[in-house]
Amino acid sequence: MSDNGDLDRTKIELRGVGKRFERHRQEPLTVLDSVDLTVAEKGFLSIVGPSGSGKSTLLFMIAGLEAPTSGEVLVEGQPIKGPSADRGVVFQEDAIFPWRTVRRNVEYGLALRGVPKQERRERVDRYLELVKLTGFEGLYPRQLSGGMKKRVAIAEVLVNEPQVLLLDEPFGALDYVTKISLQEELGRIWQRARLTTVMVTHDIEEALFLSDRVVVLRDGGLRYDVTVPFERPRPHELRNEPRFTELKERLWSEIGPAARSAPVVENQA
Amino acid sequence: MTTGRVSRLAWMLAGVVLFFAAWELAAVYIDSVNPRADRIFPHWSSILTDSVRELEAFVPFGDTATGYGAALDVLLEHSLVTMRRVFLGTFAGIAVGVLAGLAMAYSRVVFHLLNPILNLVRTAPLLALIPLFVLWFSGREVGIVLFVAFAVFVMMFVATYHAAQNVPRAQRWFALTMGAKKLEMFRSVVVPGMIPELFGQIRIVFALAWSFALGAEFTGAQKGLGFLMIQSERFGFLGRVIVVVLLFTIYAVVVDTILMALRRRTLRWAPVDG
Repeated sequence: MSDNGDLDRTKIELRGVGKRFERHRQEPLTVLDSVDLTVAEKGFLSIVGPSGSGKSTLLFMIAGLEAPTSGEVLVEGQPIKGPSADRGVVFQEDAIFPWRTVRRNVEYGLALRGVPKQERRERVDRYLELVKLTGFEGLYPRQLSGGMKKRVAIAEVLVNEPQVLLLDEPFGALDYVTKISLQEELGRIWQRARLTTVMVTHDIEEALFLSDRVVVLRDGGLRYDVTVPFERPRPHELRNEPRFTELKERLWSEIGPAARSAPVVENQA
Repeated sequence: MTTGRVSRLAWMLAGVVLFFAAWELAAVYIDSVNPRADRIFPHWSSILTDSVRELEAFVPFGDTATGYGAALDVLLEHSLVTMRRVFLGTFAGIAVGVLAGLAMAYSRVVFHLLNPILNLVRTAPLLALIPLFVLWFSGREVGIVLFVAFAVFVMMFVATYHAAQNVPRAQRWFALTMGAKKLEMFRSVVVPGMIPELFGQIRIVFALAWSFALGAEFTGAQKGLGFLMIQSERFGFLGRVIVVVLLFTIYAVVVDTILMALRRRTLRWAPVDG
């Protein structure tokens, strides 16, 4: 890969990040317990783990939407102070406004920052083309399929050209066929845009297919860290190759029921 | 007009016809058992003729007009009085209720300040407050309008707060990640997002506003449809009461139809319900 230099630069750093929830008349619930993690510039990192492991919380802390109860999140070496348009989030439940057309949804962030109308139009057109929604500009969300809504949700984030892309179980609610084709499309889009990406998912195959690196989050901390060696672009057939399925099995052993009893801390990266 | 709408209209008419027919059958039966029962269970034939005409009794003192013309004048005059109360009260109540609900959804301070009051007021039986309003304003017009406004306010306040809370978190958070400040997020996400739910409540409130006005007119008014009704009831003229009830029903249906037409025009983006 030509951009190995880039991969060495740290874009996001988590230092001892923890999250505890105070509970009424109960012990506080510790969701995350001192997580250290760095994300390389222009890298694609996936965080996988069982549900309730705090992966979305971790992602929202990088977004600046939730504050850690201990430790800090740094982007480009600076502690973050809250949400910012530099860090775009694609949410699990589509964050698209039903009262706005596709075009007006995608241009929301641009309009908010006062981008002139003409430029707005051009950028929206460009990104709608990228997610293959040209021709659907005038439709309202209720007229779109689940997959199309997801494309809108991706376009409305990418159109701002953020430095960091955060994906919270982006394809979790879609049917299998739509999910697979959107994964492949995201891979294609990502290869063109090449922006630092953190994805949270419970789908191991999805994580392996899209990322450079996968970490397992379990029992409040990172339990496994693996570099995904497959070259891009990644063809659909990759999913059935032995090197892919072996890695998938390995990750499953870290997340699945077997992992619960014997926590393994290991680093292959 | 689509076939769907034709058949919906047909079903509605069928329902109305069925109701009137069942009433008439009951009246015929009661008549056959006790011929003097027409006073408590009148036939439609007598409600729509005699009972309507008898409302001439309410022409203002000194006016000598009689017959159907005078009766219709009476109905029109008292209808306008009631409508004024309903619309003034409802609009004022909606305006203040929505603003208060929004303020409570926006600010934690306002929430902590208003929430205990809200919980108190929402559980109080609204109609039981009528005597207070009547006495405070010694039966004057403003008391009735304020009671309607207050009752509508309570309902809209609660509904607005909940509608604002129900706007999905992902949408609110998305706006924040786009760089929106809290007020901007509220204006561009929460306010438009809560409108469909709010609209449903506005329909309910408009339907109930007629009852609120009626209730206040029972106790504290010298005019209005509620006044006609309570006077007719007091002297056992059930037919006249039914005439006023029919009128109320027609007004409420007309207002609701207008609201639904408004919804279809302005909320085309929203998923259709009720």
